[in-house]
Amino acid sequence: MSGIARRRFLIGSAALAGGATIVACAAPERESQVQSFVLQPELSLPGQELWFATTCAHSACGNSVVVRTIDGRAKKVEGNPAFPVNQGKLNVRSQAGVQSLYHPDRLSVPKRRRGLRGANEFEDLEWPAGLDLLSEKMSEARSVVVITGPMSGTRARIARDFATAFGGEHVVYETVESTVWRKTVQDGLGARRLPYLDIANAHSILSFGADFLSTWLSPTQYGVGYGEFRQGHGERGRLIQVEPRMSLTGANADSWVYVHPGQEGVLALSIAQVIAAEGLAPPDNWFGVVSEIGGLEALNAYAPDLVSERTGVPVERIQAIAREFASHQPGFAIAGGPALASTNGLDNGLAAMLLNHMVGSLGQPGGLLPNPDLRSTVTPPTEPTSFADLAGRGNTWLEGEPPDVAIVFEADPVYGMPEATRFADALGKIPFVVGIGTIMSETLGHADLVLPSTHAFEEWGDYVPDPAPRQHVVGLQQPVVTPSISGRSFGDILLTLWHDLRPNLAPPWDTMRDAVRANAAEVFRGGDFEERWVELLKNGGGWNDDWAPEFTRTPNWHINLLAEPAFSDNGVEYPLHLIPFEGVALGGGDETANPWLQATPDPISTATWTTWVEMNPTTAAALNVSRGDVVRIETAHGEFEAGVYISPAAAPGILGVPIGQGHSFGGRWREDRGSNVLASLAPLTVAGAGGLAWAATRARVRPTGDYRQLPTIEVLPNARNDVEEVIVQVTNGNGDHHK
Amino acid sequence: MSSSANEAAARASAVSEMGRTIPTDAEVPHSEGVRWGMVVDLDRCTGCQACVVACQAENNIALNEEQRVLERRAKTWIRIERYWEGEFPNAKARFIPVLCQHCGNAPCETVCPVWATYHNREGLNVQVYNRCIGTRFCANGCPYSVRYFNFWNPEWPEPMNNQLNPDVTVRTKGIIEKCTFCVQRINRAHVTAGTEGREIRPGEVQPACAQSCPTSALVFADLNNPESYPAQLAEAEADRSYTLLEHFGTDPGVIYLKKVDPHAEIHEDEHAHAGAHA
Repeated sequence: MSGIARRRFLIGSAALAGGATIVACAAPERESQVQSFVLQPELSLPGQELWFATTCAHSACGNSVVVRTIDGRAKKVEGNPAFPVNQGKLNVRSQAGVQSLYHPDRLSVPKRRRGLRGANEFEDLEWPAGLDLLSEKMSEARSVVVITGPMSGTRARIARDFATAFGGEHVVYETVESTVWRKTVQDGLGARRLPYLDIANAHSILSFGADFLSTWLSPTQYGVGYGEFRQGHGERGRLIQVEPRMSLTGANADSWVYVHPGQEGVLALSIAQVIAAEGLAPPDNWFGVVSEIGGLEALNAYAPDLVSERTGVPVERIQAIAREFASHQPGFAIAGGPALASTNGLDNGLAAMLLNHMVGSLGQPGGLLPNPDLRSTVTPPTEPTSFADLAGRGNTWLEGEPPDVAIVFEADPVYGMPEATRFADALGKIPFVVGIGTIMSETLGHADLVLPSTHAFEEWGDYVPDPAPRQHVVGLQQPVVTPSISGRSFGDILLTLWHDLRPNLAPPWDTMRDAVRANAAEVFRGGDFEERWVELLKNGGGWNDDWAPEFTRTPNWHINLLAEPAFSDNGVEYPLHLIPFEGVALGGGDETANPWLQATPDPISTATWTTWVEMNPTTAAALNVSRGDVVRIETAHGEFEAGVYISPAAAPGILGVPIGQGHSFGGRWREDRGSNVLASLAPLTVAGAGGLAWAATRARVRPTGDYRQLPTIEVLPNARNDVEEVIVQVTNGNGDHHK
Repeated sequence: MSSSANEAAARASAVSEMGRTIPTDAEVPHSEGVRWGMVVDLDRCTGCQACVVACQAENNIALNEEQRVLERRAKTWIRIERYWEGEFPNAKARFIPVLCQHCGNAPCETVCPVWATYHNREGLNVQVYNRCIGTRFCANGCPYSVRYFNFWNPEWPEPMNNQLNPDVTVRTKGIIEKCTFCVQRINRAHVTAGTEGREIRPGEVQPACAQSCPTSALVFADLNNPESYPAQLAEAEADRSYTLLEHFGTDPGVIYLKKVDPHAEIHEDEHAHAGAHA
């Protein structure tokens, strides 16, 4: 081992295993041998269950979990009841963590590229050889870029400082961005951190496209609040969802309101105009704010009768929304999903924030509440890089100024960036790309060196949930099982390289465990730290109340700035709107390798394992297609195939397509399945925020003449062989479906 | 006695004999007077599927690969049924988690020729896998379609088998399986409580679905205990309370609370032509 000190490598490996020795490519040796009961592996008592609190930091869900282990194997993941974010509850993706831990196609050894980039031709390496190769390339590099998924805490601190030490920068890539919402709350509320949604105490929620019960930001946290919102207090909360495609949250709304894509801001201002004109909220709440951002005259230009046609919402419906929202306070308005993914998405979001100012619930129970600022010793959740920023970097690399080395970890921009950005080509310009992960992805498939990382349940880390639950929270992550493969954690790999190549700039920690402990000692001071450390590990982290700055009373916006949405086409050649969406199980596609999640029915269509397109019956009739017909969806920037799902909730002219499928890498359950809708999107950006305007692409549909039965859970009447019919009406409307 | 009367008597005698041979679980730890049950509040349920995956993880349910879904042979001990009401722009989706109802008068129990399914002393509809011979009479008799037949042996490619729950039997080809209310957790709670010389405490045991449910739409407890939260909930929300297909007289142990729809009156006209789909 020339480049990397062998002793340091072994130190890192041992720390990963919590002190136990690990071996490569197999179950830990001691666990596969007949042993005396007095010589059992550490913490492994035959038949005895052990529970470890940890954080599923990799899935960015912010949930803390307790993992049930028996005989050194993880068996079940439960929510950590002590943790203030998820309060003992879990979503589907967190539940599936054990399946990604024991995935048969997990990367188990380092791999070096043999063929062309993206050709999926690799040869296996020993770890020392892999690290030596990386060390050699890093020692020659003048600049480096570290591309990761969203991360926080010690891991983010190491990634950022490591990149800086090597003359580069840390880029955070989210497949479906939160950047526009972050900018919205900065400009609209003056909030430096994402606000807390006091759903449990709200009497009304007006959501412009935010699918907060499914995938938006922190759905488990929001789900806990939603249960209380509905049946937890005296007045049952009212939910109004405004969006062009019915999301899971929309399916649960008391009022689901269709709006033309990109017109959410116009509708929000129209609701504001009704509130002002009808005196539905005290003028003290809103007169000053409205005056500062354009005045009543500007607002009156959005009277319902003036914008009804533009938004697609009847005048009476706009008035009804305003009355329902304003008369059931406290409550709040939020924006997400397609509302923020239009070219005018930031304006749409800021128009929605105006409603919060008007009803006066900002900072009040049942409204949006500010989250505490982070203490200086904690690395805040790293700000995601916007689509425009990353696409711009890609262009720079294409033009001949790429960094020398790219380190990619748990980010898949080759999959998620529209093909029109040529991001795969841009990555190809970087002389040496190393990918670190648990399973192959499109981006790792373009790497020169692939290093297997440990799973979240096999490594140390910490996590700062964002949005926080009105408290200062640090979740701790600890190994709950001994690694069964020879993976190393992302943080340990960086620390090893750092100490070896830039010892003068390296932090004082040899391993991630040391780093996490040191960070915890800084954050949770006082008393005997050893006792405190054990307590922190036992609880899954630490949290306490902290000071939170108030929201600003003056939005950084003007009504006259509300722009018309732009689309990829004028609507003649491509007459339909393409609305991609994240499914509750597959999200942005990073969990697609997991068979539990593949088989989890989409709540709206009940479809599994494939890519479908939700289509209104009239749209389908005009195209002469039926359920299960395979159609080719064409945009000005690409095309893909999907099976038709006729949905009575789909709006005419809207094509709802799930994100997540269409991979060429990632194992038996992920590869060559469905289509990647993201690849065909137009590279349009959200003005002022830089996010990808993923709801701004127009499309056309061509039948292929093929038919494939949709793998749905719903069983349709007359479903015999290939004959399936559309459900349009199945209940008597009182919810008593089987009575 | 006429020959037909003799024949009837003989049949009755045989049934009586068979009745005496019905196995009991007298030796299994149990609490007298308990009826485990669940209240499902559809006003809280969002259809998020967390319960579905939690159940699969806890109960070693075979992977539902695409082909199984296409064949309508996917196994989901709890599933979220989605029903549509109305059409765009007034379409509404309704979600109902459907699991074994653990009926007091279970149609599945009476048709099993080998007593692989029976009612235990705590109100559970129990499936004994190593008695089942796969007639599928029970699945045909179940009006809720919550009994699943194993057409194949389950497979978990190594090392995925590491995740299997050692408390739950892996079912082989040729037998029926279904929701047990996570009986392994109940039994474990009995052992723990017995060791400590007490009864199971309210809330001490939860099936995996209820434990994971973010909105607490699923709550589990002894329905016979008037102090239990589900019993109180069902009482307090009596106007929203119903059971699935209650006219069949199956006496389900799962009580549903209707979703509240403040705008139901708006679409009454549309519902007037409602039809029912199986």
